[in-house]
Amino acid sequence: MKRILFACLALVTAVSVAQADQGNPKLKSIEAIRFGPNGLLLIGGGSDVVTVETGDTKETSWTKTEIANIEGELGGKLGITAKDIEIRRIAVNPMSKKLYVAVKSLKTNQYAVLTIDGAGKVDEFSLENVKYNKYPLEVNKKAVSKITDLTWAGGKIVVATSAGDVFHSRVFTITPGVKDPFASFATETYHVGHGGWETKAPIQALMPYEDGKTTNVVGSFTCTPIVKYSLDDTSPEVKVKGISVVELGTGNTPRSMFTYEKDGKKYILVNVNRNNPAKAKPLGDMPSVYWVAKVEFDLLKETANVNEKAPWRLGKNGKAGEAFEKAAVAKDYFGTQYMDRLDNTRAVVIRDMKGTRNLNVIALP
Amino acid sequence: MDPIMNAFLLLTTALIAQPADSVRFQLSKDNGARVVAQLLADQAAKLPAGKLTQTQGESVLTVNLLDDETKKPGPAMLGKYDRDGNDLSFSPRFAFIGGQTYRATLQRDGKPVTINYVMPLPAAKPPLKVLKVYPTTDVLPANHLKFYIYFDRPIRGGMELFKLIQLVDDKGNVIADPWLLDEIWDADNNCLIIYIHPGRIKWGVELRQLLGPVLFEKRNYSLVVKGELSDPEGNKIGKDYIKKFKTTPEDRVRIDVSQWKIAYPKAVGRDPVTVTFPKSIDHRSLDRFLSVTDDKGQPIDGAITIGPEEKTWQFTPTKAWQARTYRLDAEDVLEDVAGNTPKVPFDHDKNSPKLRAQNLRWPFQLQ
Repeated sequence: MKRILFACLALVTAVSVAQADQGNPKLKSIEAIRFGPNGLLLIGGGSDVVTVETGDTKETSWTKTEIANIEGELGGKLGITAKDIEIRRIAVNPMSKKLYVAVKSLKTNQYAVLTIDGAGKVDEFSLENVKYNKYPLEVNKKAVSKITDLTWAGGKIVVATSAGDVFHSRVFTITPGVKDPFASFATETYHVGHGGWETKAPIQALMPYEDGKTTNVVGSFTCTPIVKYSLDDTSPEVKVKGISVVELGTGNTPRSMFTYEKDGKKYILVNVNRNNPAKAKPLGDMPSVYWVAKVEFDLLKETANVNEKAPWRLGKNGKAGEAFEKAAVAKDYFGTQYMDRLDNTRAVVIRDMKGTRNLNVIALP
Repeated sequence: MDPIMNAFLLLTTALIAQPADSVRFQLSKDNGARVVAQLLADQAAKLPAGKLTQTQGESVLTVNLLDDETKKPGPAMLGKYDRDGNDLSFSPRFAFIGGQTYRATLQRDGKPVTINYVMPLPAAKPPLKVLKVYPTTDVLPANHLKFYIYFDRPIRGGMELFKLIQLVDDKGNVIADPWLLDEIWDADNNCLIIYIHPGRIKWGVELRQLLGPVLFEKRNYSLVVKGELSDPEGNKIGKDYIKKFKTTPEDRVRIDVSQWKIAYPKAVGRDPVTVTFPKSIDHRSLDRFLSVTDDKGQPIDGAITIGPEEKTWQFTPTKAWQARTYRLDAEDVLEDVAGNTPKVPFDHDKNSPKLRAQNLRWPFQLQ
């Protein structure tokens, strides 16, 4: 217990010693948002990562369970129609349980971060005058051009990027509060779906994974392998070799993922979409190209049946594979385009319901 | 907008906006607008002077977008409220959009005073223009990876883009699902980098097995940027922009730098270093990953000129060459149009025989 308390204090100290600027971080775009400790908002946009001290720590109680036509609602708050707003990402602030939604106006190409509280009230988290730290990401003095996802793991911000004008993937870690906060490394990953080792494909979704001994991140790629990377052996010159633990099904792209516990068992929830929308026939009895997999967390602990031996959810004949039960389809989550864990029992999802999108608070599967 | 609906709106506006001047939309010189409401003195006294919170502002004045079809008001818009004496102003978070109808409602004497306002359309701009498409060559390998489309201004983004930019075969058929649905812009937001889905290029990937490759060798294709593509304000291209090209067999080998022809300056002065390539190289790569340095690796200032079909690269120093050693450097991430680098082919199988590293530094001495 003492050790946990000490670790928590160390974490808080590491965050608070980062000298923050006051003002507008002036982000050109917003590609990804997540939360660190104490309501620290992590924003990835263009080649910059910005951390913002939201001070949003008072917990909201969720009584609202549905907001129909969420794009119309959010667009309306900004004076634009549902077809002129694009939801980029969502993230629940674990401290306040408030939902943060990064949006873009297609009429003006402006970005905003909106919030939704438990009563369904929509507001803006204005970036006009905030306490923030800005971390420009670059490789060999050249800015990266796309942040695909970011997360907080082991006192660090972990950022997945692609170079944009070259098909190239790189993962950055940022340790707030230290003199030289940046480290980056390339990854080497076994793509179970087509049986090849990849170094270039960008990680699409990230989440932290700490097993008590080492700090890891779990990433997912188009295809869709789920892969564990250790952050303890990173080096700019060395490729960090991932451990692919399960294949969810080729032809899919992951959108986000998180962990949760239910009935004493841990799971990873991953939402994905089929890659080829014009010809995509939702697999099996799936009514939507957007679907969610409930993956048994213990697969991450696997050491023998990994990479070339990693189990498949579906076999190559389209029938149930070795991991069909361990990576089950969450049927109540069909249509989910955006999601995050709300609390120990519920998630917030934005689902595509035949043309319009609704926000729902639903039970974890 | 439907003229009948417009007339109806104007009529309802006239009927319900009493007194009309107690709340109004006020255009600004920069084509923006704000709402200005005149509060009753006792009403104003209950509000703080200067900036108000959203809740304080909404207690007396709300502004809503009306639905295009149903004309029902949406939620109260976010914006900045400011009280100056008896005047309360509202500036929207995002500017009012031309052609949309907005409603301002002022609570006055316990009664709502409402006005509807159709935001004027901004002055039409010249049609959106495609300035250039890279690669500029009209011969591409069947495993070509990406196009760069340069526009004269930022365009309207979103997933719709991927339907308005098409690949069409020689029979006029639009190729289904060719793109990686990832909107990638350069730093100025004027250049869209659009990838052919790598899953349809790489061997053994389900997308290729299911749908086949996007491009086949020895065929004619067109990259079509549809005329409906517009800037955020709705100014369209108007006429389809078409880039025609034909395909050669797939190029699945790494860049062989031994085939590059390098011409060094013969003497001190400002003659350029010129590199000629046997095939087109990605123009951004030529700009970023090929450089001239001094013998210690420090970059030399100069201008890069990329030749036709991206088959030549020329570096002219800003200051005259000195009598010393320089170096031409290539980085191993430099790509050709199929994504092959001097290190590995794009679709590289790690289990294939290891490729010997190529020399990517070429020192040259000037007298």
